[in-house]
Amino acid sequence: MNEPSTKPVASPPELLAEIDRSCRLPLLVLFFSALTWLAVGSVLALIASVQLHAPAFFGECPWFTYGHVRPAANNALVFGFASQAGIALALWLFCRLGRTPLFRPLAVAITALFWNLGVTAGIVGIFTGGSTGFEWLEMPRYASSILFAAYAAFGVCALLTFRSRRETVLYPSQWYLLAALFWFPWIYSAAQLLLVVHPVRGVMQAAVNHWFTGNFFNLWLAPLGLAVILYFIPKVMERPLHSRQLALLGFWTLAIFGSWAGTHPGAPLPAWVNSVSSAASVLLLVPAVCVALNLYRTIASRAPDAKPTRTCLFMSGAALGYLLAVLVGACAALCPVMEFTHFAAAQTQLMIFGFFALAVGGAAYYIVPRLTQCEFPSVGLAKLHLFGGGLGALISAVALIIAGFLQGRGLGNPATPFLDVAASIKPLLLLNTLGVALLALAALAFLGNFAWLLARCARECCAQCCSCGNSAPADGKLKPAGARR
Amino acid sequence: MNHGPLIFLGAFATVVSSFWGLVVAPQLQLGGLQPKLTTGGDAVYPSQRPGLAAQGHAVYVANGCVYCHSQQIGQSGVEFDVRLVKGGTNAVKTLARLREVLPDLSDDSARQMIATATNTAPQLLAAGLDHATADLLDRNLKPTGAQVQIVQRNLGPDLARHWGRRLSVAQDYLYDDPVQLGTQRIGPDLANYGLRQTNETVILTHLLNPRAVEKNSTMPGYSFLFERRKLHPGETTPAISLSAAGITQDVDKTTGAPEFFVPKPAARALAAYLMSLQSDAPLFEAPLPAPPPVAAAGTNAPAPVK
Repeated sequence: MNEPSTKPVASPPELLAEIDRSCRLPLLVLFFSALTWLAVGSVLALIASVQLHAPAFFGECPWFTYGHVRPAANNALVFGFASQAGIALALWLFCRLGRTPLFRPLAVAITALFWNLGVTAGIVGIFTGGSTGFEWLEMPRYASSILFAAYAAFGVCALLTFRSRRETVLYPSQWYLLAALFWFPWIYSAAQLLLVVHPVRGVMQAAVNHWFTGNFFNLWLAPLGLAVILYFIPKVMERPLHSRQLALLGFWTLAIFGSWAGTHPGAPLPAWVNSVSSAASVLLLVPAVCVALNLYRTIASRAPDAKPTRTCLFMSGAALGYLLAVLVGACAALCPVMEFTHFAAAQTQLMIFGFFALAVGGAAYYIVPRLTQCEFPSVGLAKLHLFGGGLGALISAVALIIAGFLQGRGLGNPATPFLDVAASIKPLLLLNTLGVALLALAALAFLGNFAWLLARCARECCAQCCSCGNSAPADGKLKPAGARR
Repeated sequence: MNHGPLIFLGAFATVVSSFWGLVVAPQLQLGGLQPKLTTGGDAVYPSQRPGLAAQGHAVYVANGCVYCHSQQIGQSGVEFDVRLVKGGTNAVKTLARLREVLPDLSDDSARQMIATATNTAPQLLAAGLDHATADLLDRNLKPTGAQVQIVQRNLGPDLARHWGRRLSVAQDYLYDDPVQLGTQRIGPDLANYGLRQTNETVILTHLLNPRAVEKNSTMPGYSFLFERRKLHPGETTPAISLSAAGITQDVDKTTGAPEFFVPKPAARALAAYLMSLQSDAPLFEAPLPAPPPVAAAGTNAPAPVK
């Protein structure tokens, strides 16, 4: 009974070709711009991490102070890269799992341009001092309204694609994606409304900000990434997902606990709010373990001679990254000493690089060759991406976790002067820079490989067009034009 | 679970429940906060920041100071000291009760203590008690006519670092928009910076070149908030000399007049904002510790028993 619903079913080749054709332009535009933002964000994160131990780095330039670079990097990573790549993957998964071509591909591609316009405006706004002052919502109002409008268009296209599905049984990935597509506009609009348009007073702003941050990571980025992992691991292992019931438990516990986690344990809010939220942060381990166990069992049931593909390595790394991120979040909620330290930054790092970037990378190595009919040109760059991305995230997270621990212990002991605490974590901040440098290298390798693939495809298409007349001119001309954006 | 509407409703229910729990409920509890009288009843707290400091808040936000500086003092607990201010009218009974609550005390030293407390200075009976024990001590001694003072001490590493004298509460942020609580302490907490540092020139120098003030500071310098030029005749801006900013003096060859770092309006506004950071009013929900005991017993008012 579970068989059709736990295993992404193979579709006839002509249908797959139709789906790929409909997804080609919008997905390549979305992927290319997402990867560009990943590279931009990683380089900015590298600058910010250097500034932590060398404060004078870029010091004379008003745009590039730490207070600008860090939010710019974070916003480029979560809105430019993660959200955009997540939307691209959601669209593709809706098509594949629903066995239906994408609804209005051209509209999606044009919307992607608006989304990128919004992100660009937001990042420039942050650099020029237009930040709203709320973490993860720094983009000025004009930029966030563009983002919201663009998201609405994405959401409509995604929902209509979902609605026109021919496969009625829903695969777990679709639960996550469908819920996330609703969650994001709700939390984003509520937070914008209560913080920027009609700001609530006083410390309530912090409450709304914490609520948004928790929900953004747990109900937007996490379900997008988990949906991708839950689809691809069974797919590349050619095994059905171990248990649909376990996936169901994982989904609903994420929905319940994820929405409540996020308030900082020491915030000057009513004590019960902080307690409930901390408890939810710890309980988030339940959905994480559910997903991890499900995937582990799926991988364990593989054929003995099956070799792990590159996509599978990426996805396993991403699942591990998510588990670690949730674990770090639970520790942070349990030890108030860790508040105000680099510990929280370690969680962000794991969530974005250790989990999401790896999942997107693995998915791209599967999807893009199918869309373009071209293989990624460089195996070396792909390997560099895998090892740089995985190792970099691990090094950076471990360095920040230890730094956070030392910082928390030092700050908790009033006999240690503040500057001694700062000096004691300097070697770890250097290590963190090494990790972030690896991440930036991996991002650039990924982007380079992708751009190379597009260029080669474009050349091949052109050659085909020239040699065999008017066989498929539209494809060949549209692709590089969209990709260059 | 193959129905889109079911997932939609589930997603809606979870996010609405957390919105009610984490946003609406605290809003009902805290949204109606108004400025109120401090515990002493002598001032309304908080008050709006003056214009220049309010502009400085915008500079603080625009430059992302919040990524390194929190504005939130934590407190791990309270403890109470009990002091004897005055011996009771019934000397024998006071003595007996005192021996009862402090069994280790010898007869003579108890008598001595009562005398000193009454005539010269309050005497410490017990330190580091929780509220119930301190209250019990007080209730035991009161019937004898003795006067007892209970002094609260706020505990916690933030307070021991002199970053503040009490924990931060919702009332402190009433007029901040946007509120800059902060999530990391890459630099020290600033909730009470205005109480620690009141010298504008020092603050400006710190903004210009932190390492000229604090040798090992990890803060970046904000030299773009300053203008390097000669002073106009009669100018009274708090300009910073090059040597004070940690740069070797480079006198202009032609006129011989020294150059200065003159703060731009944004820098002065930021300094005004930093000096306005004072969340130190005694509130009912966040009392300040009592001042240390004064020497003369006669000047001691009756103990404010909580």
